[in-house]
Amino acid sequence: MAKSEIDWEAVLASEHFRQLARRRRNTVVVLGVLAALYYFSIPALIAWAPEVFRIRLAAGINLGTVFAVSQYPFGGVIAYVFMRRTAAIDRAAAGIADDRAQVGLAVAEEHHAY
Amino acid sequence: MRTSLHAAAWVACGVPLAAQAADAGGTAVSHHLITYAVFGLVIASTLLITWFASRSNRTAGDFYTAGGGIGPAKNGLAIAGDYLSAAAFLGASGLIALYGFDGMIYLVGFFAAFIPVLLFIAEPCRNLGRYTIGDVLAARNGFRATKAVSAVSAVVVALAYMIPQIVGGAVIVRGLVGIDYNVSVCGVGALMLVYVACGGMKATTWVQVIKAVLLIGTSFVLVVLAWLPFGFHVPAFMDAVVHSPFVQAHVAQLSAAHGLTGDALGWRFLEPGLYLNKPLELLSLGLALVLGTAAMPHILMRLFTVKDAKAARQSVMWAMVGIGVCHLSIVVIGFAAAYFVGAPLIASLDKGGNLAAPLLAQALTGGQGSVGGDLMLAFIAAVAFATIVAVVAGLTLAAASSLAHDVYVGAIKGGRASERQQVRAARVATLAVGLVAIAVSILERGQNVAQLVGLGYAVAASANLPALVLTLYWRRTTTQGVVVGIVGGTLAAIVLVLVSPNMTYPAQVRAQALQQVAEFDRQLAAAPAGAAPQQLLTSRAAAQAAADAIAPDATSLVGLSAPLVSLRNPGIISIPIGFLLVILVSLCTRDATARKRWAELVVRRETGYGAISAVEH
Repeated sequence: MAKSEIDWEAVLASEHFRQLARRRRNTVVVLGVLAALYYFSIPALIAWAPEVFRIRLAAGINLGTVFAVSQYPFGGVIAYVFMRRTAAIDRAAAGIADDRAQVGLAVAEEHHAY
Repeated sequence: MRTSLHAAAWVACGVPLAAQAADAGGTAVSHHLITYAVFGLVIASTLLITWFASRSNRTAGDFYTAGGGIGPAKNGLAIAGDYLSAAAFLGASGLIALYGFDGMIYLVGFFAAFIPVLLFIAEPCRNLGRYTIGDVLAARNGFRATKAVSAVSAVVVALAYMIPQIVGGAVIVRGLVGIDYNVSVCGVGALMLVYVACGGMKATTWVQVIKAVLLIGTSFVLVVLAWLPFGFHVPAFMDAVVHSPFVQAHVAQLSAAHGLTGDALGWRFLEPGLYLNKPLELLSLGLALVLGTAAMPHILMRLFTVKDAKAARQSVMWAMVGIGVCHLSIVVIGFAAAYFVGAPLIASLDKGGNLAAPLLAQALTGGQGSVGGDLMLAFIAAVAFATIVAVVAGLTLAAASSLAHDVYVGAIKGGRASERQQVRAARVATLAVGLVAIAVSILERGQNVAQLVGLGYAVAASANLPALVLTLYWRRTTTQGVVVGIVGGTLAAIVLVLVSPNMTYPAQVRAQALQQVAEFDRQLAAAPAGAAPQQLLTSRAAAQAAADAIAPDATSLVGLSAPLVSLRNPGIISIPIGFLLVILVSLCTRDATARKRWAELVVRRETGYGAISAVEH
């Protein structure tokens, strides 16, 4: 590994890298907050608004059951959006690899079309 | 209510509370030959795979991470296999069968826990680490100190999580098919040692994949069988559950449903509060689950078995698909068990409800005593057994890699060891971990070891996670902060459990028994003179004897007469302690190396520059 050949500070300071890091951070933070809100609204609603989960929607189905089960598709949506966004960021990151070809970076990422 | 809350917490954490099942007398199966044949088939197939895998194990990299050459889909299934414990399948379906909605929200926490893994942990860890969480921490912090403390907490977590799996699993297997407890523990132990020591990560992965496929497939078949009578019309099925006399009679007995009648009882089954009436406890458990999973050594380890960061996040996505499908099936299985089998029968065989899924399988395929029913039951028991072995194998490998790679090669040899030394160290560590786990499990026979699982999650969330997250994302983190945070977080979680209501408090048990005696005395006084209250007298004598057996000044393990905190799940207190310790100590100390490596860490974290390459050519 040719670690020493890379000027980490310079990469860190470069506009391209900062932009990518910011994009990734925004994606992760937004999705993380959404996921946390959705999951922790279960104990919150049970504690502060217990009647919400008792609302009956159809024969044998109430809002609580639907909300609990909906955590699964919601998690799926979060994961899907994350995969899409990071794939785009990866494609942009492959540009950095071209800039600094000292290290063998997984350029293969470029070939993945999402 | 408190004991039931306790039971729910631990069952959902992955521990079958089936101690009662085995003592209920007899087993659920009458055709033993079928059982042994099915068990033999499952075990033989996994051993065959181990044999194939062991032939291509050469280097330490092969042993720990299968050379980093596992595909994302396969690795995702293996993560699911690592994560879906027997008790998630047996315990959670039982909780839903007995307590409806509250069982469901427990299960959901185990799925939601994978979102932080996907978002914050998977890619950075793959980019920075090699075999263990210690590698990731040492990417920036002082090498020896970080490696040593991270290994200690990793081994604590792995053992705390593993022993209840073995104990609970052995009890369940005994309850279902009558295999003796010690034989079952030794069987699990021996198999796991063979898989891990001989086959390393390759064999462990295959065992986990097979187990995941078996478990998900079996759950799916049960869902199909349960929905068949309703023409796969979900509302009709749920409506039948609400109107089921089984369900209504069961809910009527629960104190939370006081004053309800008829269909209102059925609806109550789908509403919160039958089991968990403390939202704070639920929040604390939820926090430990959601944050602890992201720092579980056996889950993290699986992220190093793939080619790169992209494959790591794809693995987590596949794992979420597998776990999600299995969980949704478990929800249906739970409600179907409440409808087809009924809570009285489930609870009579095991108070924790662990046998709900097997009983449902039996009921849907011909009932008790029939060949079809017993075949299905034996199959489920074999799947449960494979499940236990797979989970335990993953944990053993994680603990052994921490001991061998972090402690021996890292902290002791300073990172300099030949390939042969590394592989030998890994095998010796595997043997040591396995033998400790088996010995403790046999010693703990009949004990309630369930609180250990919650402890495992709490330690992971309070010690490993703050250190990991702050090392990755906070510039000012220092080695000192990480070391103090891991040690302090581990101790905080352990101490909080030791002073919590999870422990037995003899003074309270005694007071309870004396209260019962007083109650019986009142009933005796009120009883008409003619009616012989023989039963009351016997019960009173039993309660009195129980009270007399405990000295008035007896205390808990740590010398307390009553719990100091009311929370069973320490997460909500110990997780902030872990984070605060790392932050405060980091602010008070200077670590030039950690600061100097920050730029490198950020760039590598984001881009994977200089990541340990996958398969060596």
